[in-house]
Amino acid sequence: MTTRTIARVALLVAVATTLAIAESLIPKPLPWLRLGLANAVALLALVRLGARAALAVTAVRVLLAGLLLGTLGGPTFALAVAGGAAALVAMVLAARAVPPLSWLGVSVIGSAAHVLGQLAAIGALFGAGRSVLTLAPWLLATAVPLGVVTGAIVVAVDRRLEAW
Amino acid sequence: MTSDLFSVRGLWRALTPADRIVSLALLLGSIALGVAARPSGEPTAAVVTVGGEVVATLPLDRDSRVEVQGRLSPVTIEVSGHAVRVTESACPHRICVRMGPRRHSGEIIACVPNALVVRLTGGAPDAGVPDAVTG
Repeated sequence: MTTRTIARVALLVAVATTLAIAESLIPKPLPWLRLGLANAVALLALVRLGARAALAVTAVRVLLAGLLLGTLGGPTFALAVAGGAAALVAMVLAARAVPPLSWLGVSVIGSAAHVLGQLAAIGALFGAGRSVLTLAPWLLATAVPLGVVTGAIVVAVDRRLEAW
Repeated sequence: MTSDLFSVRGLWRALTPADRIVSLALLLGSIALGVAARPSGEPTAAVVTVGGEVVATLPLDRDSRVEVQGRLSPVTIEVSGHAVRVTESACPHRICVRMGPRRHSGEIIACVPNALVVRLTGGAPDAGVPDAVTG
């Protein structure tokens, strides 16, 4: 990584961490609903800087948000790791898909992978087993449109960063 | 991808055919998964686990209330009229409390900060054992 890339990754880490904390503080109409702006920053890193940068942004963001929210090492943190890792792997793979997906499609896959990763963690770590799948329709039905929205935000931001 | 991204129509146009197929497949697949995961029959008990360990089993045929210690705080679980709900928890977002009552087989209430899951099971004697192996 060049110094320039490291500086940009650090900037995106700061933005992602801030958004993750902000999102955890905002009251939501449905308690489990989350727009996923922190993951959107990981996608922006993937779009502009590549897979390694997206990994760095996700890993450091999850760690910092855990530290600042006081969840580090606990069950909530385990789910953040599971969701973040699943979304990252899915988006990196989806970005190479044939036929090509747009960044909106990649975002949808990341959003869906995030909730599936979290469900898998609840099933495996908390003894819920396959019962977690009964939550899947609700979570995925909202994850898909929310993935489109966060993808659109990423594309819009990307366009305005042309000079970057 | 130069379309307007701030309207529903613009967003729809920005989706490639592959995007649309993937989105539709995820929606349909999730519904199929949810239906497949739901066991048939009436639930007979609510099994409470913390970190995968069974800490309480509440029969649904009589009203009861139990307080268990989660990872973060005590959690109060109540059975009333064949439905189970979390009535009190000191976790940050109280998603478990806001999920309300659950009454169907296979449904769960999860409290992530407490590593707690309440699961409705159909009455087999070993219903408390997490079904890790599912063909």
